[in-house]
Amino acid sequence: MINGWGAEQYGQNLSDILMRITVDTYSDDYCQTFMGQDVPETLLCGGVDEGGISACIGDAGGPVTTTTSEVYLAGVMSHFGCTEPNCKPSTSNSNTFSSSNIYYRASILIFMYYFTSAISACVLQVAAFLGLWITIQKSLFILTGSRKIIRSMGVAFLFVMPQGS
Amino acid sequence: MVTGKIQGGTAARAREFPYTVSIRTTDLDNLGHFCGGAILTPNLIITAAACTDPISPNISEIVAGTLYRNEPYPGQQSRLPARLVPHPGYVFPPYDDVALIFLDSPLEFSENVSAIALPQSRQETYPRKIFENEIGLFILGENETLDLFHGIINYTQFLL
Repeated sequence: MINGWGAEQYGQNLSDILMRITVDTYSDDYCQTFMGQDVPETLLCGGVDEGGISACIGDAGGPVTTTTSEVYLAGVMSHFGCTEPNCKPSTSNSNTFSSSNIYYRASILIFMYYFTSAISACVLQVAAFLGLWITIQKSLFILTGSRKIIRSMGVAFLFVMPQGS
Repeated sequence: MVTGKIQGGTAARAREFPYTVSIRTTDLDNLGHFCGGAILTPNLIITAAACTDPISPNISEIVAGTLYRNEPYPGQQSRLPARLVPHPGYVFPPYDDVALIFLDSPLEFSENVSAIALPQSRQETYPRKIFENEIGLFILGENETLDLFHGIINYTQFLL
């Protein structure tokens, strides 16, 4: 189970009241199909195959808890793709787990929130991110000059591109 | 059609998530909430490392015991971050995107403010065996580590 004040939809305002959702956790193989890279050992993907339910901007860092009778912290939110009605995980036949663990999302998307207004199509979200990515890349270069960080941001970008939860 | 917030969500009830905190900033035109977090002990918060790294907004306030993002909530408690400790494996998501925040003073636990339990040592976790991948291991200083799944309380006492 995930809770947070994150946005209802990409580009919209954050929620004024704390909200919660329950998602399934995904196998690494399934996660890889929309993550586009190997799934790190410390990462677990989750979501709802039907779409329409997801963490979104402002939910990063929030707790992910088990839904079993024994409630404990299973992880923190990291990166994500805000779901859109027509943006679902790209594979329809998935194995879902009944217990939740860690669902991560990209906090990089926090920044997208500042720079963009309401966006309804997934493809636009990707385009907006591209522009922002370049902006951040430039600032980072000025601030730190660290090529290592910049390269790793490319990894996050790969993850963010496919939409769905 | 998506109708709820957090995308397809349901409003939380009072005291349903007493361990959830709102991490806020005055940067970016006094933006306010920009990340969530969870209470592990009265003075220790866990969040995503990306929420604490230099390219994120500065944390100006951590608010516990609230259901609201903007409005004051009865009995809410506000604290400042005293120390940010990103996971040593963190570079950028998706790698070890976890961080700890030590608060400037302990929260007072109440029906609205309390800690979330961590899995117990040797507890079976599924589908990840989290005790084997060192996600709980943080470096606080030279020769000083904190393992979330082993003796966390002792460490936080020491750090205050």
